[in-house]
Amino acid sequence: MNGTTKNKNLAAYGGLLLCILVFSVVPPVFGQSIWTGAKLSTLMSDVIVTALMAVGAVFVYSLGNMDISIGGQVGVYATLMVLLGNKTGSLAAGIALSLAAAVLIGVINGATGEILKIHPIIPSLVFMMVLNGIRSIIYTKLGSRNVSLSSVDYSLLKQPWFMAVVLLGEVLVITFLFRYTRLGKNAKAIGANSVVAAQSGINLIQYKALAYVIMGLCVVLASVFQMGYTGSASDATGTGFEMNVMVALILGGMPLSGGMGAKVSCAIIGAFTYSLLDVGLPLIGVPNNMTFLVKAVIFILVVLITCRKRGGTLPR
Amino acid sequence: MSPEVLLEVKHMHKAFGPTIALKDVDITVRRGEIRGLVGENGSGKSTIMSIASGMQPATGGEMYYLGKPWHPGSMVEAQKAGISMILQEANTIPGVTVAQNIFAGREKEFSVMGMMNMRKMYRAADEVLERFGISHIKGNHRIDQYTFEERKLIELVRCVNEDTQILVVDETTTALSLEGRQILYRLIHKMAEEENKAVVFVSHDMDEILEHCSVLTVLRDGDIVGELNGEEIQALDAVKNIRYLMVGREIGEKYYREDYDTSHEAEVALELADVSFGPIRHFNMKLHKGEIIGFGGLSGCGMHEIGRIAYGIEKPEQGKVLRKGKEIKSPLMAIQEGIGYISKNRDTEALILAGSIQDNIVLPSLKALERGGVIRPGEEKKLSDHEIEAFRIKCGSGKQFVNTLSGGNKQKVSFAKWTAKGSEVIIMDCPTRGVDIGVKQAMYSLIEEMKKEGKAILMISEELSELVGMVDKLVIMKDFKVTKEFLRSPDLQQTDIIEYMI
Amino acid sequence: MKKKLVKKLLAGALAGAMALGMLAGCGGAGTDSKDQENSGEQNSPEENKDEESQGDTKEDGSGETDQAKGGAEGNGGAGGTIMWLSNLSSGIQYEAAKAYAESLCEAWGYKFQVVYGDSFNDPAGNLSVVQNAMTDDVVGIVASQDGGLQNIMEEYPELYVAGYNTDMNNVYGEGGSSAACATNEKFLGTIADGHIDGADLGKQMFDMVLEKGYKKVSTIVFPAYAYPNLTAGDASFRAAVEEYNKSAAEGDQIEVVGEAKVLEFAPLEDSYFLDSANQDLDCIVALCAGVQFVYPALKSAVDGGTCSADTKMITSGFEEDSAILADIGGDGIIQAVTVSPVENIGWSLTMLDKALKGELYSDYSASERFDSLEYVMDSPEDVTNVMEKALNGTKDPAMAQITAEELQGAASYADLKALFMSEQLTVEALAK
Repeated sequence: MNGTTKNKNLAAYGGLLLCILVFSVVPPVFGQSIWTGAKLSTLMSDVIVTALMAVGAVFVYSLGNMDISIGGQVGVYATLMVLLGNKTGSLAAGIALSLAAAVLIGVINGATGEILKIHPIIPSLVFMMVLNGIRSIIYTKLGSRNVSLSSVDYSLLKQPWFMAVVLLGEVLVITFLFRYTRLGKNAKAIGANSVVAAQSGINLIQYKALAYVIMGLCVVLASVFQMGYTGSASDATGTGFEMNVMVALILGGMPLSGGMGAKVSCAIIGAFTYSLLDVGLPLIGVPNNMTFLVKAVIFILVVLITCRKRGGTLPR
Repeated sequence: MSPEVLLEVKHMHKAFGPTIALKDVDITVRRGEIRGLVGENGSGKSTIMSIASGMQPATGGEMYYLGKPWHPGSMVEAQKAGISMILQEANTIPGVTVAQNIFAGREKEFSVMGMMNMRKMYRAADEVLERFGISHIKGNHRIDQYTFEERKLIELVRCVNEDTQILVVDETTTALSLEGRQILYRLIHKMAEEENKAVVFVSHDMDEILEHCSVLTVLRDGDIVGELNGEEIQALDAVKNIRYLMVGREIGEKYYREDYDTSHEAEVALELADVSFGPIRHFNMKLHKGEIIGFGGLSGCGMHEIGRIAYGIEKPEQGKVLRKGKEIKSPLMAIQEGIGYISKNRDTEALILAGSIQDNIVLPSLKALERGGVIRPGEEKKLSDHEIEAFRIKCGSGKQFVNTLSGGNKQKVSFAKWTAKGSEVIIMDCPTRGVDIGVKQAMYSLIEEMKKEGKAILMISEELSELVGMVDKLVIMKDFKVTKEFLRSPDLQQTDIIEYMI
Repeated sequence: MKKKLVKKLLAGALAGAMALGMLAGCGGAGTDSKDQENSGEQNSPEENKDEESQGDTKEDGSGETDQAKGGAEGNGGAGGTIMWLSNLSSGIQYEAAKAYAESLCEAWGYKFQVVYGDSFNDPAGNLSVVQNAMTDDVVGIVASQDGGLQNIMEEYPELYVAGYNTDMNNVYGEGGSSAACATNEKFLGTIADGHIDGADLGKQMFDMVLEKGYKKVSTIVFPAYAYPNLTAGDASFRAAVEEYNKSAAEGDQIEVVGEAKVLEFAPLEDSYFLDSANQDLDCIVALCAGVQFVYPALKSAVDGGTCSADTKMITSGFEEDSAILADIGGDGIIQAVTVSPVENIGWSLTMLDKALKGELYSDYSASERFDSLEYVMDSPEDVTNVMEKALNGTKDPAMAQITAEELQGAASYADLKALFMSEQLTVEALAK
């Protein structure tokens, strides 16, 4: 088991290193390079939103759960930030309201599954539909497919160095919470075996809800950067983001069943691997419409290498 | 001339990472024998047969089955070739019928033009069950309605058929009642003596081994340390000899408690006041500091539920569980009030198998370890290392995963969770299940130690001998009711007790 | 243990081979299309030579066997790469536009690269697509989507941008999120997909209804937040009907059934015809892309008898599906269908080319958007002509009604626009 975990991490790190290596060596053949300021800043703006979400989602995934309302949340939060930003002249109100909504959604998402004894994906499915509905109503009312910030200066949000600082900050905070507090330790224990966790005195409802709340706060942070990317939000903002998070985490070696193998590094490795492909593949001459397929193949490859296997354990 | 050799194992070596389970083991299984394999937990006795029956590969050595080199790729492959193993853990497929379990992998025999003839399958299942003398289980019933013991028997029926040459019974009897054991014993004697096949019997129960095995192999630390033939097994001092071989030192006479002092402090540590839960009605119990109360009975008698109620897992419909005047409503509250609980389902309810020893030991103590919201890794390690040392858990380090430990060592970890937490009341459900003598002895002296420290212990067990040997007060239950209470006494005989159980 | 390792290695090798195969495959496909367009564009080299010193590269190109061109390293990219932010990724119109654009770029010394805009025209999605595909030899963008256009132009202020097949409502519309582009000197305007003003579209549809003599009609549009011009078109259509009914004789009046049906970018449901009012229509006026979104439901209703067998439709859109094509004009369900000539992308490319060379026309002052002509097909002959003689149908740049020389030959901005307003781009011209 120990060995398997090691293999898994090795494969995930290996995937990232391989991507870096390939995209360092091959593009120069085509007269391109990934190591330019412009490309690196593209990489940063490509990775930032997914990375911020995935790092927060480590908590929920370590429970062995997943949340598919992430995309809907990003869409609504980003829209709120733009609309309230234009109204009040500052992003503060939109962010505050989004944070409040995220806490509420997180508590409900995390707690209902346990209280009602339903599969935890169901509350998030409900939220997905509700949030998409809200978003659709907002844009129908607005009579436009997108809204833009008019008077608020959001240029800071487009600075790659700022993105890097925020991401690093989030990674440090989440890593700390995940490794050195009961929040993370209990979440992992619940994911590994919820019966044992409950019998060891862990309040399942409380810690599941907290895990979702932490993710929700990170989703708000990600929404700020998603909105800040173009200073706008649209009726499609956030679409499919829950899948990006899942793909990033799996690429990073996160066990979908949660438990002791969950690590914050999975989110970072996965998100950067995926974005490197986004940015690197066009540089080595892969046409735009082929990148999905290439990414799918690489995904399969990583999953094959990191997939769980039994064995290597004493019979008892 | 000795009978035909069925299985020959030469120089078998098996390592799990740095842990060496088998060093260089040779063993021969012949027709007509019931070979007992005994040894302490971690001695490698189960590992040998799990390799021979395809559960896992060896890291070195050779095997010959029926004279040919033998490399089973899976348990299914081994079973088809004639080596079947019955495991300690449940191994049935939930959610389907008994018949589907018995004929799993052989559905083709019952299909006509791609359609399953279920009725034919049920009939065949009933016939097979009848042949094994288990007529109360029906092929068309869903397996989930049967108890663990009954599922174990179904597994037995599935594993054994006309082609089976070697049956490996691995610690199965601990899960079986007297009746179930009789079925198993009849089967293995029939196989060995009438059908001239072989049985390898892995067990902790010394009486059982002495009674049924024709030849015995003793292992210690991955080595074979002795082999006893029929005469030696029947010798009067056989038990002592075997224990000596297993442990490698004189184990001494002391095993259970030797005192008959039933006194305890006056303070009530845990009280169940007029508790009703399901079929249990108006149950009362007072457990005092420094007292050991034992619960005995058949496995479905309600004694396990008493433990779960006392720990707050099950919420009584009526009445209260009280500790120092406070009502216990959840495991969380129980832990906060100094109660610990060792589940009888060690692997599914007591331990995170995929977690490290340290993760498991510190789990209930995380809150106590917190300083300003932070848990320092150094503190965790200190606590866990202290317990590892105190319990002499056999491992490389606290970072080792629990699922690489032997049963006894796992059980030590689940004890250590609560000693680390400093629990004052410990509810132990089958504390020595699947644990061998050496560890058992250590557990018993630990429990005695706890009593002396003034801890209150609720000991629920299916083994009468340990209850008689350890508790101050023994409560016997039958059909969810208390049928008799016995006080500790040197005159207490198991035979006197059994009548209140059945 | 060993077995597992072997399995893993095999799996790895297999997936690797798949990846390689795909890379090779797409490279090959790229080469194919180049070959095709080379053969179709044999007359351009001379003209190309005096443009820029692209002659030698071009010679290479016409050699046609040069496999190295397959990848990103293109033929004659010395003028840089022009990126097309496409709103389509497949279909006959996409292929025709791509083939034509590639042939023009080839002739003028550019490399042509396609990226696919966000399917929701989402600003962030479009920006991200452009950013990821951006290389330092990109010199200009043909934009068929306007979401986030201002962000793209801010991100790459040195790039020229020209629109194609879009009315750029985000730029020119009221309160559009990319309004600043309109006055950006790097932004060269856009040629729309048919009518910009919905009123014109409504009028055109009314004329057709009147001409065909339909008495009972319904209308179908896309949502107003996405396509305000369609809603405006619906209004002007109804206004025209009302105006007509005032003077029309009793039996000649036209009835428009109910409100306009709004399609949320999903095909019309069969349940539309469960409404009795919709069961005996003469014609459905699909202001949205009706060939894709309305025709399937109507076809199955007509075949299944859930609506009158004589229900027809008039709409826009074009698909390379022989069953649909056979159903246009005559007794077919689709009585009239309009489609913009793919040559329009030539306008965008010419504007970019001129701007890049610093030869932008003296009479060009500010960016603007304008309507494009449309092929109006209402008979099987029209369909045959478009399929066999027009660039739209043949996907062959040699069949283009406007050649690279004509584009370069336009002396003024007015001349260039006139090319796209000329008789050349009508079904009538194709018939000759």
